[in-house]
Amino acid sequence: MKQILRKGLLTYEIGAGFGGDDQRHGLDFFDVESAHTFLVGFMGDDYNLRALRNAVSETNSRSLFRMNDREVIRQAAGLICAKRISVSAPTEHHNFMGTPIAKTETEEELPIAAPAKSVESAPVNVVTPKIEMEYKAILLDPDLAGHQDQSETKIYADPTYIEVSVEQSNKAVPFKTGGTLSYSSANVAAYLDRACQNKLPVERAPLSNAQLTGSRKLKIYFRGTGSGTFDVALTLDDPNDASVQVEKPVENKGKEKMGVVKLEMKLHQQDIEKIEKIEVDPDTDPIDTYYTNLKDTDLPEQKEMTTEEKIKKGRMLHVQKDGHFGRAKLVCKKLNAGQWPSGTGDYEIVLKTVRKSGAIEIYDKEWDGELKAAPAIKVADLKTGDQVFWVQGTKATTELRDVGLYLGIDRPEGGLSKTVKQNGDWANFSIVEIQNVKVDYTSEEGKPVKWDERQHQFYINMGAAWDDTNKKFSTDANADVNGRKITVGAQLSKALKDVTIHFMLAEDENNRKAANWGEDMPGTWKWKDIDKGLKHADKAKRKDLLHLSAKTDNKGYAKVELTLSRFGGDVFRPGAYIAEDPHLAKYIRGHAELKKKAPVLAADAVTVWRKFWYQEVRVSGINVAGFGDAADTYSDVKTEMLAAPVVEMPRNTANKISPPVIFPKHMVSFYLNNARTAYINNYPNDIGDALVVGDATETRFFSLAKPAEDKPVAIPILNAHALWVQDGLTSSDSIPWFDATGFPKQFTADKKLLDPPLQGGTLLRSGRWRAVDWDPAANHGTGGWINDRRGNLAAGDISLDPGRSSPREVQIKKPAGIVLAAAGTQVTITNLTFRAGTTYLGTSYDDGIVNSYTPNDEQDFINTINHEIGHSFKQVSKVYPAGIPAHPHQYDQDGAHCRYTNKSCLMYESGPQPASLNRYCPVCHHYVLVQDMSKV
Amino acid sequence: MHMKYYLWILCTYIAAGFAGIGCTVSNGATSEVNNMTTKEDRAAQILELPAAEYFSFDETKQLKLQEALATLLDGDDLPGQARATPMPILALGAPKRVNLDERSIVPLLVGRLQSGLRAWEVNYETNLHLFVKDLAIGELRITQPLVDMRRGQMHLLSGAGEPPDGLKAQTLQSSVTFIDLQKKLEGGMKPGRYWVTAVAYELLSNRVEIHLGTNSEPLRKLARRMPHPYIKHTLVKTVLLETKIVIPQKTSMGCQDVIDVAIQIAKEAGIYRTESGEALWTCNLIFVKLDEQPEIVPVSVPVEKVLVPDGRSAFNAVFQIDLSAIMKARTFGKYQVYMDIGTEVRGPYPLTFDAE
Repeated sequence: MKQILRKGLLTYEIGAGFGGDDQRHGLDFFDVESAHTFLVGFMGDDYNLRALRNAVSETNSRSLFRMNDREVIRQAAGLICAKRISVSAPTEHHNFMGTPIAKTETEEELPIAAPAKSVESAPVNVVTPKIEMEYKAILLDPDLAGHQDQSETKIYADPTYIEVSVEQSNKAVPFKTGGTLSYSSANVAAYLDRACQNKLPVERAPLSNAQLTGSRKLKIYFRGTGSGTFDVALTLDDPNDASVQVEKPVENKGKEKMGVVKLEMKLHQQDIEKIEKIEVDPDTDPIDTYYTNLKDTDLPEQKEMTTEEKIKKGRMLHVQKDGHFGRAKLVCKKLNAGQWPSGTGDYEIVLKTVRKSGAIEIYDKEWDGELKAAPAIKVADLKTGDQVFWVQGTKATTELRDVGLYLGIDRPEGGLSKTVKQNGDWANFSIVEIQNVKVDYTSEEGKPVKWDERQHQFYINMGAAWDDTNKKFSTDANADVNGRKITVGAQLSKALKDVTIHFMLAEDENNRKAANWGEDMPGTWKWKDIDKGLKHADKAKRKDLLHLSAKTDNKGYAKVELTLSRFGGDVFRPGAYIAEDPHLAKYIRGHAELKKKAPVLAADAVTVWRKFWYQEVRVSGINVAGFGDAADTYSDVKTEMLAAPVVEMPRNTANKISPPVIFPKHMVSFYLNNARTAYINNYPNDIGDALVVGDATETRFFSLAKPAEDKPVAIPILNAHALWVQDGLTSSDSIPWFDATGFPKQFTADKKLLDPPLQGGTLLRSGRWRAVDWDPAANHGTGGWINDRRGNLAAGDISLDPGRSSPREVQIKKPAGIVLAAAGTQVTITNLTFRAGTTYLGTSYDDGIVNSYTPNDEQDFINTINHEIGHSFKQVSKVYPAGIPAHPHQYDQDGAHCRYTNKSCLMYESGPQPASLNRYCPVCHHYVLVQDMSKV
Repeated sequence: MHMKYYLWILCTYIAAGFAGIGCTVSNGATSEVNNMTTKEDRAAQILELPAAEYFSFDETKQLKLQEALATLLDGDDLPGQARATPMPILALGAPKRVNLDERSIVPLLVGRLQSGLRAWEVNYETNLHLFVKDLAIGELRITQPLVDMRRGQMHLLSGAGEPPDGLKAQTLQSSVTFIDLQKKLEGGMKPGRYWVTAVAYELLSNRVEIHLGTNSEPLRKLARRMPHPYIKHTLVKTVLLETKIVIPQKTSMGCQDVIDVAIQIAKEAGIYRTESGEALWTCNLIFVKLDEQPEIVPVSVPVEKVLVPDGRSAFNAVFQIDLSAIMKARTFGKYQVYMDIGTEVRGPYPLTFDAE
């Protein structure tokens, strides 16, 4: 049975075998091709025949029809009612099959035509031009390809295609001529291929019959060249056949309104020029003022990148971690409503990424905020105003500009198949990740090691320059600053070149506090006044906000030379950030606010430390004493005290030195009792060899110690049994008359005595004796003094008793010229004068240190060592760096010492002191911390 | 009188051996001089040398000067003759002028005569202090010349332990020590006029003046100080003001004692005018304690200008110093207080400071 359904001018054929009136069995015998024809006719020309075909072919199942379209088919077949049905083009077959009827948008009751038994028509083929559009909008090309590198594939805005065709009511009388597609050359260029290589003539493109009636509809691609709406129309040529009637293009039939739309995406970058002009003074007092000022310093708004910048340079981002790193501001500009034809209100402006590597994320706020996984803005919404997004990096790119972000158009499903239209505007991104920050240091054989990675200590006093000609260190005024220079490097996770990285030495929150310094910085020290040259330097100018920077090399590595402070114990954490993260320049460790955004920090801190070597000089065969725990005192003041190889003087050489350096032990070493009322001999009656070194002999020893290139700060040290120096003459004394039987006479001079004296000659400088004898018979039996005689004392009359308890004691034996009278002889000695010496516990000479070993007080001996080393390092200094107040307890005559409470400082002039702290006092402590130890 | 004075100096030098021949000093000769000068004066005269001698001082010269000093106390007695313990003497000698363009040192000789007992009572090594007044700027500095600032052993305490026995106690010590002031004085010495006085606890030496010259002497001005709060002054116009320096012999913590001073001084004593035209004078109190560093208490006070009968200007300084205020920072014990009045050092004034 063949039925014809007439609807207006169109006649549709109901395929044979269709159920027709017989609804009971129609479904089982349903023919797909017939159904196509039927449904197209039934639903009118709004229906998408191709979609139907596709759906059917893809489904390849009759049962689907049976299951879902029973009612449709039933109604159609029975011609119970005929409705003009306009439906949205379904995107998937099940929608098509299951929903069109239900989703009918408009229904128009049509007159029910009586079943026709025969067909009668003139003309027999009505031909309607047809234009179908992928989108009604066409992207205006942003004209950015010119900024791309020559080697890159040029990127243009995606074209939008349309399909042009004719619908024929009766193909048996085919339409045989062609047509013309017209469009606005002011808005678009038309192409036959997606790649837009095969360009159609401007304004009007003649189309052949084959193009219009082929089994595959003709696709025309429009590329936007000028924004605004325009008409596109398909006008069919005269068919030259009376049986064929060509319809004129009218709205929705061969004529459509389209629009070329301009999308704008304004990408922003940091305004480096402005940021570089920001100044915040770090030298304030208290330093918290600096932190507050820093916190309150606003960074300028990100500034819009030029089109060239956003393509050629691209926006750099650091891979986000814990919210530390910055986001790029992205503004989707308000749309020009006039460019958008009707029916596009539900289109969406989408932000999509194209990436070769790396990744980004888009947020709605600069910090925190909500992640926008697939940002899309309804066109209708974007017509009302700008939309701001923030872009952050999430994965590093392997090359610069490997991530592209474009602005495109998408629309709901339906109609022609579509793809998201890309590159309405676009920009490049480079995502970097600073993988690590480290001290860049490699030790060199034979050179001093400046960086101890294990202990995280950087020895800042290793900056003296080695004079290879003279084999010694030069007295370089820059040794201090040179020694404090530290190279810090940063490695990117990908080998990206020319990435600007800023480097900082982030101060530890405990700098200037006891935790790092051992003692809190004195209240009298005003940070703002302290010489800037002592402070760490990681900026070109101290007030700069941004830190020093360097560009990465082709391995993605950058390094820069910074300067550590001169405060021993200061701790710094090297950090790095990219130029687009200037907020990280405000990072302050330990600050409630400023600590929250941190740059990439080195795993290990750098502690400012110093070190020096002591080179012990000995005489072979004479062991005096070691150095005990002397090094601990220097640890307290952030200095490492290390032993250099010992230098030995052969005993024979020592024996020949003049004045002598070998004395019997009993003669050289004494100490005061606790009450300080009397001396005690450390070695009474000990005739063993004692090493005695002083002003006259020290150079003989220290000349043996040669500078070593790997030990720029080395102090030759000799530990002697005693340190004696000549001390002129004693007072000239007159001993009143005494009985001559009192010889040998013990006499105490006003100075110390060593025999032979160090100034040469004999111990006795002068002395006269006078003796008288008692004669009981004289003066007529009343007795009287007779035989008044005088003489000079001889050198041999003087000796030092091995058991003497005081270094001032001398023994005078009876001069040979005195013969005792039986009745008694009285002697007086006048002008008794000796060549004297004096002793010290230690002396810091220009070429080395001599320490006097004090077995009575081992701790005080260690104090002596450390005291003299202190002198070698200019303690207690009278000369301070600018801004460091004078040491309140320093006093000076020939040397400088410290009068800290109860004489307890290591640098007090004498020892042992009962209240000794056995270390630098809390006041000296700071002066040692800030001392330039690059030379001794 | 002048002739006799020079005769004495000549004899003293001969006695000191500078003539190179033995010369016995007769009791008569010394006694004649003794009538005219004290032993302290004579000690000072012994240390007065031709300028060049100070710069070529050596062991031989030292020995001879020590011998010369010893003659001031050492009698030519016999056993059994009573010998009084001699009073100690402290004396200074220095060149009057030193051209700093030619000399790098500023020599000073410190002579001392004392008994063994005195040596035990006051450790000379630690208690000898030099008061050096820079007249150009009015600054007083103190140095401890016999203590070398190398790390040494502690020193014997003065008067501690058992006193020496008779023989040791009576042993007479005569010493002359050479000091380079330029080296010993912290900060060195700049061109200008200086007065130097030595103190060994309660013992005060003569004062020597040294003019340090250069070809281009920089102009230096008196250091300005504000009047101190612990001073109450009175402006007195009395033409002839009798000098009065009264320091209590005993005071205690929190007491109301004062130091009472009335003195007429010349402009050279260190008078300067403030911006408002007020005449101010700065003098110093020096607190000396055994075996400790002396402490200087500066005293700045307004003074009244008067014309004395001979037509010269003078200044009257009348003031009281709140002793409790300035003793607050001191430790208890016995002090010898000296007062630097600009042109000389007055004292000592013994002062005992107790808790109650």
